[in-house]
Parts: sequence; structure tokens; C-alpha cells
Amino acid sequence: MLFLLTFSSAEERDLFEYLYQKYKKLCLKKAYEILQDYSLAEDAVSEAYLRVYKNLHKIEDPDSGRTAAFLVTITRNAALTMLSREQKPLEELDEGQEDSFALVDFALSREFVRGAYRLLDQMDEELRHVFLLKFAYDMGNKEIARALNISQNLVGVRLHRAKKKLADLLVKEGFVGA
Amino acid sequence: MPNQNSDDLFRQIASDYVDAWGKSLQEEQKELEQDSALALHPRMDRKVLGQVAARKRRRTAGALGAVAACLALAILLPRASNMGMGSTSQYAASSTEQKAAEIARVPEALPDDQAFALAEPEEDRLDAQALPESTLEKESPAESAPLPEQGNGVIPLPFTLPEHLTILSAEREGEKSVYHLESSSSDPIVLTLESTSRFPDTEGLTPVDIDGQTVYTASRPEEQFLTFQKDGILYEMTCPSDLEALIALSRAILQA
Repeated sequence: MLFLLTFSSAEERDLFEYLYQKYKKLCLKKAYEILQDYSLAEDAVSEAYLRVYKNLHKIEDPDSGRTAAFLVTITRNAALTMLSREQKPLEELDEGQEDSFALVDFALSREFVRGAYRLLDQMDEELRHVFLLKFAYDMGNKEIARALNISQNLVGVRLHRAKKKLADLLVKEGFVGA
Repeated sequence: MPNQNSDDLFRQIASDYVDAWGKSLQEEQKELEQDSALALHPRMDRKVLGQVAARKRRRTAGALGAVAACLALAILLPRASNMGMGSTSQYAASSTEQKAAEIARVPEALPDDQAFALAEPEEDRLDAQALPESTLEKESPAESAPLPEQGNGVIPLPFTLPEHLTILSAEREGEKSVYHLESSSSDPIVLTLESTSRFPDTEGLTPVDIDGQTVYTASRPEEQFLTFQKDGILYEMTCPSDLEALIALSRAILQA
């Protein structure tokens, strides 16, 4: 039992340190884009990595794009939480410093998928985080609550609003029938 | 869209989105790696790696404590039963369990954990707070006469929903029944019901009197929160901004 515990700990430690060293600059950049303060951004990354540590089992391939997206999702959420604590309104953010992800850069095969991406990008970021953790990473409400450091009730509220918003937009834009 | 179909669709959209976004992030990350002008971050390194190391120590110490507790039980329980103490053996066992639990708890007092404890999820702390009330639960009427549940395990609402509210969905999450309510005049509400004699943890909450009964509220940046206990059910409700909507709903529940 102790052998297994030690083995598991070493594996976890190695994975965590690898993830940290590999993505810390990216995460710091993403946190800075929101907070505009390196010291606060470092705190946000620290907080985010602690949450990631508790969800290491969600990491299948540390080098995959999905892992990068997972880490950035948690980091940006931690930064947004810190921003709300600092009571800086989101409107202060420079539009140009928002996430630079541009869907049109990717050769997506179906109009529907492109449209759905655009709609997801339109969604409030905090709603999108919960939506992605639920549906892309298959996390339960309790896991999401722990990862984002919010109540399960708030996860439920955000998830419901995200689903409703996306469903409404899909219907409105004619991608699916009502 | 039916729920199952829409969830499948959402899953597909979310998964494709994350794959594409991940590729974009990987490219960005490669560019950052090549940019040697970026400063190092010793403070952040110390903080992240140090806190995780402290957690690791605590987990290992906790596991060792649990092993020690099991060994203590294995040694002491047979002795107690061999002594033929009858009903007092129960006390011996529980006393042993207490000692074992104390052994297991000792590592948590390590100074290293203090900083990390701040980052621990609230529910972990709540679990510890709920321990002393387990005795009360055994004697509560709610325990002896569990509430009827619907087919999907959801506790039915023991009150009439106000006219402006409609149920969008109801689901079971662990011990809680979660209702998503839509309002024609105010914020949507998430209402959870839990069959328990446990009273809400009121620390940091504001008591509000409703027709002579007390509920507890909190106004948070992202949500309004209200909780109270009635007839063996712990009610919790949240909405984005309208605390009055929660108070109105709790009034309907308390008057039922």
C-alpha cells in the first residue's frame, strides 16, 4: 500500500511539475491579459495550479491542446475571480487583449461547427468556462465547483444559463429547429 | 430539443471547441518558449511548488496516520472483545476509534498546512464541522420518517410554487435535490432541498426575519444566497442578483 502511495505520489508530482514548467508562461500571459498586473497574475496562476493539482486525474495527455485549454480555462477563471474581488469592472479590459483565439484561423469543415464556435465565443466567459468543463471535460458539478472555487449552486446557475443561451442562439441562427 | 439530444450536441460542440482552442494555445505557448526575454518567476515557482509539496507531505502523513489508526484498531478491538465486557465493549471500540481518529488527525496540525488550508475547498471544512451533529441526525424525526421521493430520486416540493415560477428541471445531485426555477418577473432561481436535520452553517450569513421565522442570507458578488431549515429539509437557494425573489420564495415555503 505504501509502495503504491509513493509511486502514485511520484507520478503525480512529476506530472504536476511538468505541467507547471511547460505552461506557466502561457498561463501567466493569460492571467495578465485580464488583471494587467504581474504580481496579481502570478497569484492567479498560483491559485489556478492548486486547483489543477486537485484535478490531475483529468489530464490524459499533458502535451495535448486539450490540456493547454484546460489549464488556461482554470487560470482565466481564477484571474476573473480575482478581478471581481478587486472590483475592477470587466469593461476596463482592452478589447485587443481579450483572448486572441480566432476561430476563422482553423479549417473547420462544417458551417454548423463554425457557427457554434462563434456562438460560444459570444458567450460570457464565466458561463463558457463552466460549459466547457462540463461538456468537453466531462466534469460533474461538484468537480467544477472545486476547480473554479465556486458553489455547486452557482455551477448549476451558470450551466443552466450557458445551455439556454447557446440553445437560444442555435435556434435563432437557424442551426437547429426550435 | 430533448435533453439527451441537446446534451450530446453540447458535448460535441464543446469538445470540438476545446480541441481547436487547444491547438491555438499550443502555438502561442511555443512562441512564448522561444521568447527568452521573458522574466523568470521565482516567487511564483516557490509558491506553487512549495504549496503542492506541503499538500503532498500532508497527504502522506495523513495516509500514514490512517494506517496507524487501522493497526491500532486491529490490535485493540480483539482485546476488548476477549475481555467479555458486553455492552461496555462498544464504548471501548468507540474510544479506540476516537484515538485512531486522533492519530489520523495529528498530521493535519503540521504548520506547513496552514497556508494550504486556505486553498482547501469549503466542503472539506464543512465536513469537519458537520461531525458533531451526526448524533442529532440519528434522533431526528426526519431520519425515522424519510421524505417521499419521486421516481428519479428527487424530493418533491412540499409547498405550492408561486405562480410566477416554473420548474425548468429537477435533478438529484448526491443527497441534494436541485430544482432550476424560471421566473416570469425576476431572476431564475436554483433551489436545493436536502432531507436532513442538520441546520445551516450560518457563519458569515445575515439573519432575516420572515413572519417570525429566521432565514439566513448572503449577498455575494456573483449571487444572492438564502438558506434555512424546515421540517427536516435544509433549503438553499441562489439567484444572480435579486435577493427579494429568494425572500419571497422562502416566505411561500415557510407559510406552507
